[in-house]
Amino acid sequence: MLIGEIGRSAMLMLILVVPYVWISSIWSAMTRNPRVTLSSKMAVVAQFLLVGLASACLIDLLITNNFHYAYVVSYTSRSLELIYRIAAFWGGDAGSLLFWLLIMSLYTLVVRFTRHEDSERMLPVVTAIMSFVTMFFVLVLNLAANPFTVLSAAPADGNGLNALLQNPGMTVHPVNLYLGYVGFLVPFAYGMTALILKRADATWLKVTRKWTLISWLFLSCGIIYGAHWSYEELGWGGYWSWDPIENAALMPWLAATAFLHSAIIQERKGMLKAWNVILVSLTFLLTLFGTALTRGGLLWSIHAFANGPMGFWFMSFVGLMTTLTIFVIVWRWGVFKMMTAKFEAVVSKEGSFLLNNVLFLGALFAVFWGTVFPLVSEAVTGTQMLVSGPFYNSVVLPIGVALIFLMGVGPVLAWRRANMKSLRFALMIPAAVAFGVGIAVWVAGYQNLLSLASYMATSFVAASILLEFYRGALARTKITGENMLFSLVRMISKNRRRYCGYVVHLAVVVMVIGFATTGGYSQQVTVNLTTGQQVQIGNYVLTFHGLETKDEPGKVLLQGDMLVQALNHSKNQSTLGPVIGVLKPNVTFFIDGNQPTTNMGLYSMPFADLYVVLDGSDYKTGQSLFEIHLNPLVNFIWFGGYLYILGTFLSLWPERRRKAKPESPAVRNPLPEPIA
Amino acid sequence: MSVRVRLWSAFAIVIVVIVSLITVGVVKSATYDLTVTQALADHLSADVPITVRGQVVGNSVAWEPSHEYLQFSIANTQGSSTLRVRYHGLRPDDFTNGWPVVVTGKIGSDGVLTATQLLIKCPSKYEAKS
Repeated sequence: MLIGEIGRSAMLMLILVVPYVWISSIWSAMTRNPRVTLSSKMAVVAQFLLVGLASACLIDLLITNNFHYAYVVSYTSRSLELIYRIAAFWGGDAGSLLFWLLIMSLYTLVVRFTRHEDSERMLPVVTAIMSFVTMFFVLVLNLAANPFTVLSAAPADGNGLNALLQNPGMTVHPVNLYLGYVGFLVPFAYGMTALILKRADATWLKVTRKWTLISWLFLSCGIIYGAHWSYEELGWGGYWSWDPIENAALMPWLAATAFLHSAIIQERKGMLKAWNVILVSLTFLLTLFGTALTRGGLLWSIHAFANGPMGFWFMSFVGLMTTLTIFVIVWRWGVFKMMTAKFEAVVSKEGSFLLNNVLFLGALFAVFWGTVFPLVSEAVTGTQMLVSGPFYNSVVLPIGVALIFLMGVGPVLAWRRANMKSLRFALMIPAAVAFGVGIAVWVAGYQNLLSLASYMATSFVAASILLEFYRGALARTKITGENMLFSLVRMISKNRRRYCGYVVHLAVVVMVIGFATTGGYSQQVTVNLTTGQQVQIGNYVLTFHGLETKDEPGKVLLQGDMLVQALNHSKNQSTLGPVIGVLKPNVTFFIDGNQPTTNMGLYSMPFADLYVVLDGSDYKTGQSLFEIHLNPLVNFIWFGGYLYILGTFLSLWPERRRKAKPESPAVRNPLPEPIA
Repeated sequence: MSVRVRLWSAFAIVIVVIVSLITVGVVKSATYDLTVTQALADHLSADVPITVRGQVVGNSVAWEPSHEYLQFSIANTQGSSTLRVRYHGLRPDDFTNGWPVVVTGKIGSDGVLTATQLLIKCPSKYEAKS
């Protein structure tokens, strides 16, 4: 009981410490008294240590199966593996809020002790804003969702973690999402600080962009990993099903993506200052709003969040934060009036970035409207109505195609005013490539229109980006005389943000090819097979070699055995090639009486996945029922995902601070503008 | 026309297109989202697709793997009213008594809902029964 009491006491002490951080930060900002500043810094350390202590105590209770605590009983059991006992920390409502608080206090600590231009003036205000949000979480944890609630009598065993969640995904997906979600508080705090201090200038933007990019990277990792996990789990609706929770993660992602692009205009031109503050605020408010929607039981989600008082708490807080944000923006509107540059032409890089923002916010609004539609329709008509996949696909996919097209045009547009003649010249090759690919795909017999449009749009973008790399490297080679490859590497390393941004765009292209192909050309057969029978799907033949049972600790597996062979086509006949893979779909029965789970058998090739589900067997007839899917290019979604993470990561990697040899300005920065 | 006006006109067109896409999308694909009690009480036309949320009644589940045919009933939270559902497709994991599911389809004249979609809840944040 001692550990639990320490955890609970740590949480209680936070009720005093966090307000102290808040007050002392404000005091420090107003007086700039070194002693007050030091004291507030120490309070930030204490805040982190106390949250860390409470978290460590909760993890200890979970690991040691201390069933005196309701939270431990709800999410663990004696037979649960250690890794999932730790994962139970963020597996439940109260624990996940403490986890949120842990990340937030860690970020506050990092932010408070970083140094940048004007940090002495800005950081106390930033800290005050962050600790204001922290206070809300401390209150909710102590009053409404305390993970240290003691039971009157300890049961012999806990309820355990649901079998579907006992998956490595449970250690990766939620953690990344929280790291991303919580991270958006930092850009918001900087945005508000910039306004309060009347400093909506470059310093604010530089720090904010970095924090947004970090949070955006985590959020993207979380979303991509979640999609992968959902793809492999039967009954979760594939890699994306437009569930309210998925939308809750997508909405801040869309707003942040819009910001990462419009930030470039402010950086280069000093324009759109107000707009950028609004975008980072919107991103942060959407993270709170998403949490309020999905935790309050307001919306039905396939992610079964608890229906509790959490919705009321979060909704009230969203209301408060939105009001305060609008107040600060209106109060300090004058700060934005110092805008100097003006748009000189519609067809220009500035114009394309603005259109990008309109499209991203259009998609955001569509997702938002679809997500809250049940609430709106109930308020207006009295009956809840909802929209699902077809609605989102019919709105978001066309916007997506427009965005992809823009990705191809944007890089070749000049700042200020594009020269139409050179624009036409620059786009000629990508357009020719797109039409070539379109015709080739059509002739090859793949005539699904949406997929075809996607292939053409993506090849247009890919050609346009690769040409950018080529032209840049060629220009450098001409000046320096280096060889092409060396020149390319040097060019990328010297303009890392710009070219890594293009890598992220290429990653999106790869992912879209995956979406378009699985969407248009997936095949599915459902067959009953007896031992020795074969079934063909696409270019593959699967031979069923019978069922076997396997005993594992705590469970028994009923496993099907299938061999995969590819068909080789020669002039007039098809022959079976050698065995290339084995599929082992199974049904797992748990000895403790839990519901059996179905695990699909997967044979993954670079260009296609064979995905088999064993869905029952009849002992009388000896037949087993299989659902077999052939998903072409589905791996492109994950390959693209990895490339996307790599591109963002490289773009974030700090610049080396060594002095470069003097070079001519043209070589140092032949194409200077950053892309993200 | 100044650049500003042209820029805003271009964006206005984009915004109008997006708003029309949303409006058409909502009109075409919105379904009624009902509880079991509401689904039984509402006298909706059989042509209207509805989405019904309920909990699986454990002893009502009949699963014929050879035909991929699943029949079951879903009940409201009190268990006082139930709706019969038929579904052609695979039986999801976690298809046990009391498990929350969502079905989308149309209720026929026989009072049975023929589901075109069946989703179960991902059990994240699943609050176990105490």
